[in-house]
Amino acid sequence: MAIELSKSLEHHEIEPVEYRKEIEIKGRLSRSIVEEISRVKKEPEWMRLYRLKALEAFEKFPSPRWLPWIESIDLDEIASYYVKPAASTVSNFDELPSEIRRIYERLGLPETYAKYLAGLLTALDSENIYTAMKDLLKKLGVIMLPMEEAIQKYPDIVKKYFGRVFPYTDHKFAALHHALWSGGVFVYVPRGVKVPYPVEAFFFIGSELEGQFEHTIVVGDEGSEITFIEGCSAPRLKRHSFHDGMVELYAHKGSRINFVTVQNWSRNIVNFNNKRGIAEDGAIIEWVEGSIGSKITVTYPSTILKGRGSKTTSTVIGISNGNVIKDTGSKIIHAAPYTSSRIISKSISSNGGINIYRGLVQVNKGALNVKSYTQCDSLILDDKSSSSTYPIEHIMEKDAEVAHEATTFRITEDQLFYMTSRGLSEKEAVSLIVLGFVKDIFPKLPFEYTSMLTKVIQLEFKEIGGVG
Amino acid sequence: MAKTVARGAGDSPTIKKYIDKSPLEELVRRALNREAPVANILIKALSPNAFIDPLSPSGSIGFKSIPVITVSQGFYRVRSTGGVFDVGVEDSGDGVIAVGYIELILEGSGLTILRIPENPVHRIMGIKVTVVKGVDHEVLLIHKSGKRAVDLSEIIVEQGDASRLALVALFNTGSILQARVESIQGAGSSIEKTILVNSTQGSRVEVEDYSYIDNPSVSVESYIRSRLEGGSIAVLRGRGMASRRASGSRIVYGIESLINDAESTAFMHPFLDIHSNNIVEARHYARNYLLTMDKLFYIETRGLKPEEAAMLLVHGFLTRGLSRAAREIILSNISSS
Repeated sequence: MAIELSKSLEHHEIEPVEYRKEIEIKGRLSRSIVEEISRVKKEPEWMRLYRLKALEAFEKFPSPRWLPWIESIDLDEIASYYVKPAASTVSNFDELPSEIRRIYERLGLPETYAKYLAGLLTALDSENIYTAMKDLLKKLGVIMLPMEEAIQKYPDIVKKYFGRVFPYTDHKFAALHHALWSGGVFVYVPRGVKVPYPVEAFFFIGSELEGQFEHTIVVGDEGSEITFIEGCSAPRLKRHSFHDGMVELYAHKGSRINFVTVQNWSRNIVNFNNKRGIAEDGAIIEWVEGSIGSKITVTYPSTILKGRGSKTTSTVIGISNGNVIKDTGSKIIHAAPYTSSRIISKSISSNGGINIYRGLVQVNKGALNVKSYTQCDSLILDDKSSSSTYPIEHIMEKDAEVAHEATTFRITEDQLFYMTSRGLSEKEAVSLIVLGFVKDIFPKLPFEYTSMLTKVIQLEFKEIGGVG
Repeated sequence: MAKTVARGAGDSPTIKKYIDKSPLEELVRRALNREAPVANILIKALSPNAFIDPLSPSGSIGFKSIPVITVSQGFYRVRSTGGVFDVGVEDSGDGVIAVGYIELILEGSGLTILRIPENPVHRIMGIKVTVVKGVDHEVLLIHKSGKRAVDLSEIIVEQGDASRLALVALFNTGSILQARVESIQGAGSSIEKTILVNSTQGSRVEVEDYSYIDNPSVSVESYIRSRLEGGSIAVLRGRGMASRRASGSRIVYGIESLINDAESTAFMHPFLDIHSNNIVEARHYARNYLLTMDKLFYIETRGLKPEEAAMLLVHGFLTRGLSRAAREIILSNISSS
């Protein structure tokens, strides 16, 4: 039975917006492009050399052949590796150029900041153009700065963490990111500080054939706590753009970092996102990955449980509606005793969409009394769509309590019959089941995660009936 | 009928070369170049309802992971409606490589047992099981290896429409074992594969099981269970694929390891590719089975010694869900290992 979802894939996407660009570095990827980006940003020498080393690694590494669709990405086609809009960084929405302000108003960012957030940073193309922190955040001594500014103001702290969690030697696209990174945010939460409201970074790609390579680092010092929300969007573009961002989390002893991504790129964005965290003794890292938009998404939020008693949770939601590929999952390395992890993955495939879960749970030698649980549910809504699950478990200790379960669901005639007999139309019944399938993870999430993800999912499925 | 199960799409850099397979490569090279004495396997039917036909050594059986080395008397076609077969080796001794290929055709319902005894020789062995349309059969493969033996095995299963097969393969491993199992089902058929790995002496093991469903109303259950001791390392891979034509089918994959010492390691990869939204059931799981203190304590309070309690749990782990006949035979072969 084929369930008809909205074929209008772009119903909630933003119309293209024209705005002035101050600098646009174009051409084939080369040493001179990397040096030009470094020069424009007035970077210290160590960062220039770091970029060049990463470029060398990029040129040396082979393309990952295990991702069959990677062949569809032609990096030579990317025309702009660095785009700086003609707007300087401001801390008041009203000071933004009107055409850019309209984008953010359409996305509801000023309202969200006013109501829910302690801090907000927005990046347009390759540069941050808006940074605001409420007084509360300043009083707590939290550092939240565009990455470029943090390198200038706090070089020693940034140097300590930059590329430490996710080095450029990892794979080809990590190397590409380190060579070309621009924008992003550096957050440092001092010892014992618990930030009561989330902070957010919002990334927007405004042009086609553009590469965006923002770099985010969140450091939680001992006993601290922060929730960081990352939002991504782009207008409907005629040709594709490429996103190769990176997130590095460092949770010191007893700290907690919650990192939430609501990724809603338009259907022209090829999205590679490199995310990894390190948790020291008793620290907690929680990933929530809401992967809704984009043409291709490849992202596996990963945690290295380095400290005794550290914990991590990954909640991954992938929606592939239409000609979309979501290659998502999560990777956990248990490198210390008494560590625990939980991965919950939910995917929905419809209208020919492909969902892939790729996960790893590794229990290293010496990591005694480890507990790990992975649950992976897929919902396939028609006979053109598919779902694959590739979990990997490496167990090197005999007392490791590790379990993985995966199930593929469908909507059955009897479920629909039952619900339609209660007075719902078939579309309403389908939409209720779809939302119910995803929503059973919501009670496990804090309120702010739930409301944001629900809103995006409602937008995705709004034309099929009763959702929302 | 044969379909190739697509490989590679799930192989990310996370999947590493876990064991040194150079002794297996060396085994194949020496056998192909006849650099070592090559012996034939010999099959003896021990029951009257089984027949052994000579099979010309054409090498067309379709094995994918083992070479087909042409040796006279190395190919057998066995027709069975139930019975016991002993598979021996004509010559034995250090450095000998035994080579043999068996095509097992199941023409009637029953239980067929293939017993491959412990032997110091290295072995390259292929078994193809063909289940005729409408037949309900159980096959037990008891595969024992010498402590230093290097083994390369492949089992291919092809099932006719509306047939049923319960396949239980026990590998008491030697030095290195690579075993590949693949099944292809006809419409309305069902298979329950249970692959048991009993590695107690520091073995290096790689077991792969592939199931391809390209017909409606097929049921596949595949379980791989390993007991690892003495510093053994096992790589256990399962991959099930259901095509768009697999409507009304079900597929269940389960991989479990029981690691019983501080040196052993298990790598488990239960993969599933589902291309149909009309699947009745599609699920897989992987877990590490624990001999916990509370389980042992409970059994010991019933009067068993600690080692007996542990062995009882090991037996239960390996034989769970098997038929009575299969369980008894498997238990007797685990105990004697």
